[in-house]
Amino acid sequence: MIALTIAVAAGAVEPPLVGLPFGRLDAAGLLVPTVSTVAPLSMRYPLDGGDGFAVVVVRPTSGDASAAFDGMAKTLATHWPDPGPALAGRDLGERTLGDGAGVVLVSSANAVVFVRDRGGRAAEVASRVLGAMTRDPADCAGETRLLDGRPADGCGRPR
Amino acid sequence: VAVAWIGVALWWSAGCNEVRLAGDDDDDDAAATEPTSPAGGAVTLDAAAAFDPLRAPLAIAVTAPPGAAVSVEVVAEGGAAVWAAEATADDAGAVALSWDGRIEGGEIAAAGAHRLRASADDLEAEAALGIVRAGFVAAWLEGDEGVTATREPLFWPVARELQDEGEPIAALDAIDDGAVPLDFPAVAPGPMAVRPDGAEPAAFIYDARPILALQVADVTGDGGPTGLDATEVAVAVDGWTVLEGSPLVPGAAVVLQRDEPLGDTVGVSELTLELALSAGGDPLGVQILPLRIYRLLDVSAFVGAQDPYRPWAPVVEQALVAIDGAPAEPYAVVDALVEFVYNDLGLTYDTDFGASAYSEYSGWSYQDPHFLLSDFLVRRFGSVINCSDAGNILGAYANMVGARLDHLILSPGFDLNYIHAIGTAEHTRCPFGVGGCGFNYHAVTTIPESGAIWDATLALDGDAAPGASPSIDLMVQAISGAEYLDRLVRSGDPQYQNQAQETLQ
Repeated sequence: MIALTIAVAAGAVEPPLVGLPFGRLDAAGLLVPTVSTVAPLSMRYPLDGGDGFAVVVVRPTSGDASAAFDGMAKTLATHWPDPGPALAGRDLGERTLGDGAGVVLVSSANAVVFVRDRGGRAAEVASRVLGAMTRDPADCAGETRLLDGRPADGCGRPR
Repeated sequence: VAVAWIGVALWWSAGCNEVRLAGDDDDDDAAATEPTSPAGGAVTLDAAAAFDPLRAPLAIAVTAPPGAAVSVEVVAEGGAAVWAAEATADDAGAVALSWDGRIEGGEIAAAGAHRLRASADDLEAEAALGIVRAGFVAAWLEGDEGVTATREPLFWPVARELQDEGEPIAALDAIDDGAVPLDFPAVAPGPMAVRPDGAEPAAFIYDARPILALQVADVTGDGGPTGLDATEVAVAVDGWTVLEGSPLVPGAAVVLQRDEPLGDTVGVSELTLELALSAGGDPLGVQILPLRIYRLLDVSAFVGAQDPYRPWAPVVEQALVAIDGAPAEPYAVVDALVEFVYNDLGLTYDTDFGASAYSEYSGWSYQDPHFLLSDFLVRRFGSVINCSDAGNILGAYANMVGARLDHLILSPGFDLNYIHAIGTAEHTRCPFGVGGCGFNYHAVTTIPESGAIWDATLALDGDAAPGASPSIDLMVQAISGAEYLDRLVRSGDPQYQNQAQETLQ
């Protein structure tokens, strides 16, 4: 039996929000997503060079994101390795799963990011993605639309 | 001698044109009353009743007195000669000529009713000659709601378009380019990701006798008349029966049906139909219609009613080419697809983490598997997959060719006996390396109510000791659920659960 290993980051009390515009993911190397028609607000991006893919999920609240993290941990991989050196010194989010090299699943605020990188930079990619998408709550005024057309606030959280 | 024959209309022989002698005022269709002889000073004329100058030249045989100067001409309905030739009869009195239908200036003579005349001295023979430009500009394949043929429309994922039986599967702008008659184009080879121009494949249940409708051209390639109003032209196709529409009427349809079922297996039928045109029994030529027909086990087994749940052209093309000839029976079809997915698609199991490259589950539970089929077809996320992907791939291919196959989850996690994962080199108990000897979950497929498992992710160890080396491959094809667990699971108590048909995007 393989047990899930979940690392909980310490000291994360009021994390900043994570959300749209997803265009900012361009800077993190993620370009055109496949938007899931069944998994809530799930976008899947191929990584540069065909080395793997990233799944980015944005939920209305951190609680919703944590629930999504649990589900993704169950269904996105059949084997989770123990945390590896690639995670050392990285504060990716509240919950982290995987070795950080080939695979990582991170829950940070209201987002969950899964990266499968055969190039061995999964944690680095996840860090870039979350950095590109993180906003101060004060920046979330206004209205945007999600990729599936639903209305969202300025940070991309669905209304 | 010639005078003695004046007024007698002659039938020369079966397939030959009517021959008349000068001075005959009777109706053209008057029957022969006496046989004639090529000898003895008469002029006779032997040619087809009609011809299509772009498909084959007109062969003209004249007999006349030996050594006579023979004139042959074609006269249009208004009386103007459109072509003439001179020749001298040989010692046997024979003259052989050929006309390619071109008139002065090199143009093709206008289609329509003409007269063909041969004369030598004061002797003359004459016959009706039809010039036609016949052919078809569009072809449809149709079903009849399952009475003798069930057609299933194909779906093209890139354009998000579904075939319509009302649209032709092959079409031409014209029957000729002004000089050369045109055949229908073949279905372009390739993976069918993009809807092809000019000609498309069609899908039928394997035992269908498809119905073919052909639209008769109403003008030639240069906009001229076809001549079909003056000459009766029929079409015949070997192995197909003409149901209606022959003789051809410009702009109307001819309907044919295949005499025999497409087959008793699933696969791909590549047919080259020769649309044989004739007038009065004389062949005019052949127009080629290539067909590419998928022989499905059944209509799509997906319960989803939306267009994307009909057979995707790139999927059935790939699958049915691979399993062509498999018996038309659900187990046999899925068995063949397991071999195809496991061996032929170039896929490799993710031996690091077993990550799902193309699969999700709605709400991130094991319920409602969902497959990113469009992405998979272009390998957008690579060729390294896990069991959810393999199950969804197999499920998509099977359901689209008509074999209902459901996704099934084995959970909770368990440790493994020896397996041979897709795309890997050998059997192992620990596909993820040291410490990686089990699955958190495993996805397989089943035909509802069968109690059997199909799995393209891995081959089991098929010998008497599946927990020990050496191992022999046992493809997971209709293995009972209990035996599958016995061979797969070393420790743990996984249960089959969450049986569902996948959804697609």
